[in-house]
Amino acid sequence: MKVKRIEITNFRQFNGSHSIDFSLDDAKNITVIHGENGGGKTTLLNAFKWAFYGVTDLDPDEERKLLNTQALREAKDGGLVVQSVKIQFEHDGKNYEIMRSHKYTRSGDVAQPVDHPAFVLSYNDPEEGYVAPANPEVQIKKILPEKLHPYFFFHGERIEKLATYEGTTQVKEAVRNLMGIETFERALNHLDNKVKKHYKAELKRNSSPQDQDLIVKIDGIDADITNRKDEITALNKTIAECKVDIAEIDKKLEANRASEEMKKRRAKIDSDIKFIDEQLKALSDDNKHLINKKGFLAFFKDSAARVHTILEDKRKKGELPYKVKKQFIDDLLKQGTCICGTELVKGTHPHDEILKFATNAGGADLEEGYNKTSSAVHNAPSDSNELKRQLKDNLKAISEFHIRKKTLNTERDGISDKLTNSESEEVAELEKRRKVLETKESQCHHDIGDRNREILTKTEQLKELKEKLKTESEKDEQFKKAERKLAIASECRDALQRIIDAFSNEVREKLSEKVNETVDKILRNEYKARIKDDYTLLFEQKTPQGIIDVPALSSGQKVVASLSFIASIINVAKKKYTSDNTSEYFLGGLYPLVMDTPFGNADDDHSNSIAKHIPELAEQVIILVSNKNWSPEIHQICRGKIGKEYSIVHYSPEPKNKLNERYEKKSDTGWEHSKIMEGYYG
Amino acid sequence: MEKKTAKEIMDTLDPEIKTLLAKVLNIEKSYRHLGHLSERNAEEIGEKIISEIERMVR
Repeated sequence: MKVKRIEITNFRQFNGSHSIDFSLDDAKNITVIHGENGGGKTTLLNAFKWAFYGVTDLDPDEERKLLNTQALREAKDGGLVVQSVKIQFEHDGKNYEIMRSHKYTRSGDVAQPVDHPAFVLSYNDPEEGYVAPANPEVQIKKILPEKLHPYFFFHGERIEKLATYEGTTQVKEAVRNLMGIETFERALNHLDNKVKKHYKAELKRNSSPQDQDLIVKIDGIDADITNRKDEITALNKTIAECKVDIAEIDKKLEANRASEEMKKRRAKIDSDIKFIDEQLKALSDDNKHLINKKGFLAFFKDSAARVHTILEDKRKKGELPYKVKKQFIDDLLKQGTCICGTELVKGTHPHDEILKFATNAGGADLEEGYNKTSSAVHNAPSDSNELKRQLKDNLKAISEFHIRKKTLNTERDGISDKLTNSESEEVAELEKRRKVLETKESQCHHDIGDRNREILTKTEQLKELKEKLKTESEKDEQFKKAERKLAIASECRDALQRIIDAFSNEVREKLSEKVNETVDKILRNEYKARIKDDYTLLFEQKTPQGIIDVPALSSGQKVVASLSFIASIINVAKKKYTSDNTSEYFLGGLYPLVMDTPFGNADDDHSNSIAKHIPELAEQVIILVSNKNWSPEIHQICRGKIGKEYSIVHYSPEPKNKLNERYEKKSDTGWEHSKIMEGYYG
Repeated sequence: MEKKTAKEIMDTLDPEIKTLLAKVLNIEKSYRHLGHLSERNAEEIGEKIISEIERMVR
């Protein structure tokens, strides 16, 4: 899809009609619209949203005032005044036009809406000619899915939080919307709230009073488990928030000379403790493995001696390993001649004698068994000693690591005390706040442990009750049938949930890969970006201790991460759209990117890096930007890729910003309004 | 633990459940053109799924 033109009429600060023709040149795919704050950049972004979906980012109060005030006041009392946005675009080889309009009548100084806003969509088809479908709202959402619109019509300052723990829900939501799994989720909801509910009621109706009691208990425990799981999710979110806050505090402590060194030392201690914890876990796992695999050796001493005596006895008697192999006897019988030359004819004495050998002879399995057992018995004492030595070494290392950890923790506590009692009030305050956050985080971990234990206990209880329900009393046919139907509904629901989870994970991984590719291009290996299992979008950094999360990003990094995320969504949607493997649930699409204040609060370096890659973010890029954020460097970087440029000039009875006279002008009519002019005035 | 893909999960489903799941999704798809489902729509869908399960156990 490519947006060709937008025409806005009497919309917010735009009085009368104003239009913009966007660049359709693939080699110069950027259209830049310059404007000062308050001039109408965000209004233009909202004009897109309103035209396509009838929504805006504005507060409800402001949303009621979309009609331009001058247009209203200049209308006759009782006269009609119309606010509209018309957009022309090409999609799938057809030229589309949409128009959303809202009619009002003037009643004094008030605009009275005439009916609801109207929406029309039409297109020119080479074969069908002019077509105006009856369901335009459904049509437009197929072309440009409404749920994805925050990612291709976005405000830079608001997307920064995508790259924080706060943005997790949005990232998850985006993944969900990209998958087009609304149908799946509706099914999940109906299986839960209609079907399972129906069969639970049927089960109860066909139960004895005793069983009814059990069913109530089962439902209660089920609800408890769900609640505990929800609590764990909330606790994990709190932990993530604490981590971000602690990282922010650490940044400030590092920037303060009074705490810089201590902060660095603590960071080193933390990394050493992390290393020790990993070693302790590895040692503990090794011990478990040793005990699991070789623990029997500790009790094997007497048995080994007895088995050795038996085997030795058999060996002396020549019974083990048997000197003649079965295969050898079989071969003799088959060839019909003994090694001494005697003929071995079936039914004769020599043949019967040789056959007796075959019965007693040992097979390959027996021989292998004998060898293995002899060797195990023979090695048992040394293996047992080796096991003891390994366990002893591991325990010694564990003990040493614990002592080292204790020393480090003591030093860490000392640093914290020093910082809390620092002469610098700022440092002392920061450290106190940090301690509170650490305690909170630790409490959350503790609570998660409690909840997990509760879930385990309750799952056991649930299992017992379900078992009891099966066996408690004689069930009639109706009960059994209802039970089976409920089991089918539950199985179907659980399968669907597993499919959704797996599908989400696949899309998350695909997005994660794309995000990292874009971040890598912009930041050049400074960091790796990843969408984690819990849908947090974050950066990772390589350190001597391994790869670590970077919880506190700078504004510039946040903008890079968020823009990369948006570019990845557009990319995945494009891939889906252009691939042959079409899903019946999500068809993908080619989406333009309309960005208001794309650089957000990024510093110059990050803004310049982003600017270099803007043309690659989508097929068509529309930038709404203030002069403050459009530096000469950025202009230079983007210049070759800009196909069209416009400026929003704001007219005000009393212009406040004297510095931008080309963009802030005095209104001759006395009305505050904005005009769109072609070109960039610098 | 290795994560299974959606396709792998589908492949390991009991054939009966797999068929039911396909039917359930078809029922939901027939309501997809509705942006918002009313309580009446939800009831209808629930009843249709229940009919499919009843047919299965009959």
